[in-house]
Amino acid sequence: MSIDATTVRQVNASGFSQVPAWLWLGVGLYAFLLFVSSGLLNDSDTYWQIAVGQWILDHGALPRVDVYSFSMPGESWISSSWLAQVLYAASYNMAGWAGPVVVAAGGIAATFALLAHFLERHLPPTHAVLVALAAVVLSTPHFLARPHVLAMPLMVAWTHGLMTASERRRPPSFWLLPLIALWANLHGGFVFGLVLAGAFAIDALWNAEPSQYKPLALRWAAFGLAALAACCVTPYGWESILASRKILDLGELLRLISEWAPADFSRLGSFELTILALIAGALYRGIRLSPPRIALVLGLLHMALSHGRNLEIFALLLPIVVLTPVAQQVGLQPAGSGRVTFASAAMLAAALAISTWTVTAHRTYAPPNSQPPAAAVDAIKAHHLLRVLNDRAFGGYLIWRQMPVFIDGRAELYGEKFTMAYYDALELKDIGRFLALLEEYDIDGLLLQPGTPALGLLDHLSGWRRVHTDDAAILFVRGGG
Amino acid sequence: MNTGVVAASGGKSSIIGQVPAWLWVGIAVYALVLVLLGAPVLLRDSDTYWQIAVGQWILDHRTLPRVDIYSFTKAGEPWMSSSWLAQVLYATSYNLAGWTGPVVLAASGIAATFALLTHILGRRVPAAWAVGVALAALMLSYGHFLARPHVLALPVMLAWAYGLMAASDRGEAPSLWLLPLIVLWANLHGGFVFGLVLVGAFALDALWNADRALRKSLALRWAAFGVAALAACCATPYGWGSLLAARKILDLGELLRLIYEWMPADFSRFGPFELTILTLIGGALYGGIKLTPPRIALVLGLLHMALAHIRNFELFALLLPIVLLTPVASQLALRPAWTARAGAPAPVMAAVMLLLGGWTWLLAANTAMAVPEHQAPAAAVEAMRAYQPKRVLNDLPFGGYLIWRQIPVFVDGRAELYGEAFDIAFYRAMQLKDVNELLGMLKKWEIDAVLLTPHTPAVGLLDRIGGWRRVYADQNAVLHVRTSD
Repeated sequence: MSIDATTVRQVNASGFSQVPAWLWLGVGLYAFLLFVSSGLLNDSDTYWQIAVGQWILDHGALPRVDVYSFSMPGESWISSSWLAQVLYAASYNMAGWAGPVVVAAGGIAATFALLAHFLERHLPPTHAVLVALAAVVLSTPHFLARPHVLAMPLMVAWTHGLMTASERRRPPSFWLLPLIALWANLHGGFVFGLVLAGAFAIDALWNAEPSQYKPLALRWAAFGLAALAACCVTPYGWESILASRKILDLGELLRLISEWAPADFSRLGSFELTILALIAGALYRGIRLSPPRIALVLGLLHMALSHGRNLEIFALLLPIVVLTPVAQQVGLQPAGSGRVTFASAAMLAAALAISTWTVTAHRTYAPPNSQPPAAAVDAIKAHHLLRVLNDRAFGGYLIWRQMPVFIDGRAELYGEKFTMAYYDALELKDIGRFLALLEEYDIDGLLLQPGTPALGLLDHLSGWRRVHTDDAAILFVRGGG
Repeated sequence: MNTGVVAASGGKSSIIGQVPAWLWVGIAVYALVLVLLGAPVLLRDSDTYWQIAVGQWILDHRTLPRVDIYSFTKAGEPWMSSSWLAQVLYATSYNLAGWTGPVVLAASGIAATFALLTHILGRRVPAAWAVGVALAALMLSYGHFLARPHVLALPVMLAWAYGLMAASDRGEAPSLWLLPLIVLWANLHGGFVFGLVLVGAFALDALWNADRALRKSLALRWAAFGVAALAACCATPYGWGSLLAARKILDLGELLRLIYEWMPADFSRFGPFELTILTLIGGALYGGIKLTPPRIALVLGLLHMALAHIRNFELFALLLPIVLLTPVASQLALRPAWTARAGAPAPVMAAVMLLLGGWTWLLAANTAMAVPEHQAPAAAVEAMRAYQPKRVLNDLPFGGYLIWRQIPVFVDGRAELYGEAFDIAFYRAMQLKDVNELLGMLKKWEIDAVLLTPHTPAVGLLDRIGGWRRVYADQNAVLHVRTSD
């Protein structure tokens, strides 16, 4: 009897100590996000993502035209992240705001655990965890309960699959295709996966023997075509690919939307520190890379410099791209930290589930109070306003309250011209055009954030009066001054 | 006869052949700047107006300004003109030759800089590389080519940096003959403090390269040089006040994001800077370039400065090649194009100077050089005179021209005089970030006329509120005057 107990205790003890470092990282990150989740619900886009998900669940079909705005009614619109929206809506129905928080935290934790796991195959565990943590620090601004965090683990797995195939001088396994099919239903950024396939194809040819060029090229090309076909395995078919192009056509607008704005070096931030540290490391060691890998590094750097939101792509994929050459040149060896046995994985999963249940039961999650203009929206209803020109940040919340919006976060729907006119108007770049805009769209109210330049003008114009002011929002209606 | 012709043609080719590559670069850059850029680019900053006006004041009064006399908002505030020598040079050139003077002066400074860079590089790498790098540096820097003090300081900075680097490479302390360079720099432009920073950086580099036994004595000699350089910086009419004044421009905080040349590097479009960075990174990774930690620190420092402020692009473009020259040349096993002693023979230099001078004189006679109208709204100012306003609120680009016309200004380009708070309040008011701030400003300073560029948001407001009416507008400026109610 006692022998059995000892044996069981020993198995348990060795089970836990064999949990690899990457798994601890994932668990730690998940727990941290659950406890300190203030950032995950910070973006008002989450409101309309859940609203659309709910619409899909209610109607059992996918939207094809816009039904939320009065400025673009009936415009064709595709929801390229439908699966993510359904997941968020379903989780919200089950558990209130805790639902999307758990889903997003799970996605983020899975991403960095996966990254650390792949890194541990070539690096000692400490190095792998440190690199993954650096990637976490760079990506933190974009940790939000939105579709892209659910696509991140797929992107990491896809890239790693392509890289190992290239280094083993084989074409990628067709088991990777379900990854991109899933990615295409989760988030519009899947097109980047196709670009990566092309880049690693060139890398594979560079690594290969000259005699193998032709067959290898053909097999990578076949994989590429299969991936393209897999991208069309969505309810919208090949329209998904066309839709994802639309977001790139937004031109000037991309400078104004904060996550699309180029990298900002006015303060010494984590991105600049990372770049300087990487350059210093490469110069100190005299790191050498093959041209296709150099092209990947420069491409990722260019993407991160042009748009802030690409910082996480840089943070996650750069380690994978430079992993093997750097590990070799610096002389690092993997130490093979523990393997995941079924017993330890099961125990960990159970522990996670129980702690999730406990934490979410005792914490209330809600989007930050400063964002939703709840009282102001009540005032809108009281004045029976139908065509309110709202600040873009309020768009999601207004959709949530089932009010028609002037503009919201769906940049690809409204397009560059309309959104730029909106920004110029609120910033009073051209007062004449602002007043003309109010007439053109027959606006009967304005819901603005404090500090918007247009407020100062409306206070001095006869024809508009303030009817509601609080810390979140200010409401103007037409009427004598 | 035949022998004579052959001899003549042989002589001609040898004169052209005697012009070294770096001199060709200087000639080409001079010609390019004068013809391709010319007055519309070099004179496109209205700061040139007040730089020349101050230079003229110094020549007239034979002393240096100590308080501001040009604005009504900061009249009598202490102000130092840290670029007095450059201002005197520009004013003198203007007196000699009108606007052609400053244009030629600026072009000469720029050409001298790139000729010097090519000459320095050619001492370690082949001519084609030297010329290629100089052209790349030109591409990065041309955005800041203006008839202003900094272009006259560039060749001095380059020579200073090279002197320090060469001393570090030889394992010696820099020669005291370098000190006149920083004295000149301190009188030309407030950026000379960076020269002191370079002394520190190259001192560390020298210590890293030296043998352990020699380190102590080398450190002492570099420290002595550093102290001498600091003393040399005070050899200006303001004494050590120059050093304090140079710090003031760095204290401008938030304002630095708004002044175009102080903005951080912009990556929204794929420009020459991004192309340069990506090419350098790609090249370093392809060649497996290795550097010592002090050199890495210099590279990172220059990169950080260029990322933080656009105006530092030229520092990055000119100094990075100097920092990388020796290590890259030895790792890639490159052979120099010419020896240190390679200069141009005196007759050749004289001939080149003469030819360039003659060509410049012809060019100036056939081209009217003037400041572009959008910085010099002459017609609007004439219209304004008819109303005899006492206090004009002018837009920032017009400050220089108004000083030129001896009209007291509300604000101009001397950011260190007006300070962060005042300038930011001005920007916010003009951009209508807070309408009440603008109205308050008009009341506080008892403004009776407002002269703005046409696309300023404040124009739209003044058109629509009571108390002001638009009296003049053209494509350069819009004028509003207070209506008597």
